[in-house]
Amino acid sequence: MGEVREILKVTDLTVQFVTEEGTFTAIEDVSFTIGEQQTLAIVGESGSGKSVTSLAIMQLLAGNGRITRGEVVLDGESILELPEYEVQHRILGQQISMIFQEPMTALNPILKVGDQITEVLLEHQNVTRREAYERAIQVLREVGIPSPEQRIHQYPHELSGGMRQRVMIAMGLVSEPKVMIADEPTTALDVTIEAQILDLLEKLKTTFKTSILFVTHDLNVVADIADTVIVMYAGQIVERGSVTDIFESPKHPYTRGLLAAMPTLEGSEGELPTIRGVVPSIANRPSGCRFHPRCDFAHDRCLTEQPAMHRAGQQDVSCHLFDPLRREEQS
Amino acid sequence: MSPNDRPVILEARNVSKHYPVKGGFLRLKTTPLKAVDEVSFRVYRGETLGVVGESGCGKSTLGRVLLRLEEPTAGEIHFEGENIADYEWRRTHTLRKDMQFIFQDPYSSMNPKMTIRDIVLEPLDNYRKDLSVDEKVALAGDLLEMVGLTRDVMRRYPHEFSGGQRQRVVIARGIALNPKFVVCDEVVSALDVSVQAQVINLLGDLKRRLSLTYLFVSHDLRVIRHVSDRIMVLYLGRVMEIATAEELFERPLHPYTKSLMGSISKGDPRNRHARTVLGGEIPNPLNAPAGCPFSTRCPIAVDRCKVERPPLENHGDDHLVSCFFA
Repeated sequence: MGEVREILKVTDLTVQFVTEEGTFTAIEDVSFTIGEQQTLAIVGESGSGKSVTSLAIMQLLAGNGRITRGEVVLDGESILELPEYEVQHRILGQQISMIFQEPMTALNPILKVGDQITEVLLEHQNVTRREAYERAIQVLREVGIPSPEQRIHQYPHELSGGMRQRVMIAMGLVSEPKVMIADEPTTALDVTIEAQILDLLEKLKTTFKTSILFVTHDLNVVADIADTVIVMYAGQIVERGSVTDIFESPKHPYTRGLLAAMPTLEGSEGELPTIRGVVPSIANRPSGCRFHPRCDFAHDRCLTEQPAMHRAGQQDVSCHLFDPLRREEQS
Repeated sequence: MSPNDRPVILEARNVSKHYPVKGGFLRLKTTPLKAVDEVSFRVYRGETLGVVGESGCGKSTLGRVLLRLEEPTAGEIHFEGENIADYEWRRTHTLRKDMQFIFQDPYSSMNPKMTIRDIVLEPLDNYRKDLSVDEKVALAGDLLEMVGLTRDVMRRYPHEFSGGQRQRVVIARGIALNPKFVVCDEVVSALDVSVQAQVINLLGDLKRRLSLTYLFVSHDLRVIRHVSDRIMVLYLGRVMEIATAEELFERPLHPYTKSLMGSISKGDPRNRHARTVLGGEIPNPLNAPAGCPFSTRCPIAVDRCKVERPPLENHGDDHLVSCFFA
């Protein structure tokens, strides 16, 4: 991988939620960078903090959530310190856009497709209504919607699930953002439609020169779309690396467990390898390494001490097994 | 032993389930929505028959119709030799001991105000009137242990558990009456990967210990591949192909099955363009093609496919395909 321009750089991002039961840290010290026209996938199970990470970047956290530490730099500009007005009018929908899992709930049911797409342009860019409509039709054509001239006059309920997701993507791309955040955009879709949408995202990344932050629980989708991957568990990054390294030589016991637990297409006799136990809830996160109660390699140190990020092969791993000092002691 | 000689536990013959949908001017016109349309297949004792297809293919409806949780519109369902499609509604209660259903969403299929004890006891209270309360509670405890929970969870409520644990409770309830035939509808779809593998293993373990036969409904081809002995592929309420799991994945004959297989991610970042993309979308079931339901998206369809329905034919070794060109 050659030198690519950094479009999004997230450093030590930490988010807390204040609830009646107390203050909980949803994500802790999340750091990564996305290069120009690259796709980074955040993969994790429920409660891993993958969606909170993307919402925090867009500063769209729920009222009781706040960013307590960290920095988000978008193409050289630090955006967390910006006044809310500027974030709303200059960043969101303009330089960062977002597409969601269920387009039916994310699209406005009483606005025609065309009005929803042009709204983005009319709100933020100096264009006439006619120009905006022409642009909307063009974008709808780019995302593979047949006869867009008619479709812009339809309401979301008149479209199929796959078509709605295409409309969402069109809305996300119409302002040619630097980064598009896609949160489980194919999870609700059938497998043949999922393949169409993933293909489309791959193509559009080049057409629109956009970087993609792809949030998903599905490792197979990650294999198909990502350049780099971060694996999250219980609010922290446990492993970070290129997609080939993560799939071919996963280092963290959790990443290894996840990859092994997936049934294969070749078929496998007997039992699937499992990770014992359950994902801890945000209120009951274990001490030390958060994965230790489920880890086959856990030792005394894992129970008390949080592992730092260590370099292992080509990736970064948050696990005591890869602590260079420990390996020196052993040898 | 050729597969044809194996004992059949359930046989569906031309089973259909149509829902009337009102439409048109003043909603005066009623069009049948053919959720399941003339479906025929056998389930052999002790096997897992996987049922796979995309949304709207009728896979969940089929599972419910087979257990008479919904009335079939037409067709025969032979369970252990008796045509249960003929049973009067009252009599369908007698089927519950032998045929059970495990639902996909454990949170909405459990009453949040009931304790785990009451949830697992419910089928025993209804069908095991021969047992005393103490015997039933003891049995409920055994069932919970069998699904990997502990007896002391009985006093707790569904919301206190994770998705995987709730799914285990639903499984305990499903096997409480010692059924012979169990329909599992998307039972692992809502679970995290690490937990999904645990539940798949549990279902396999219970199948062996209790000599169960499963009809396993899922949209997830990897899960279906892992759990099934044979697989049935549905599209718009009709059977496209039935074969053993290995045969279906290695030698799919129907163009739809081939497309489905091609659409799956290989899970290999070096091989990501191995995916083939099937164009088009599933037609509205109210407006399904007259001939082969797949003819609108099929790469090899000819005029005949649009008007004539291809029969489900045997292409050797019980590999059944509904296509003129298989």
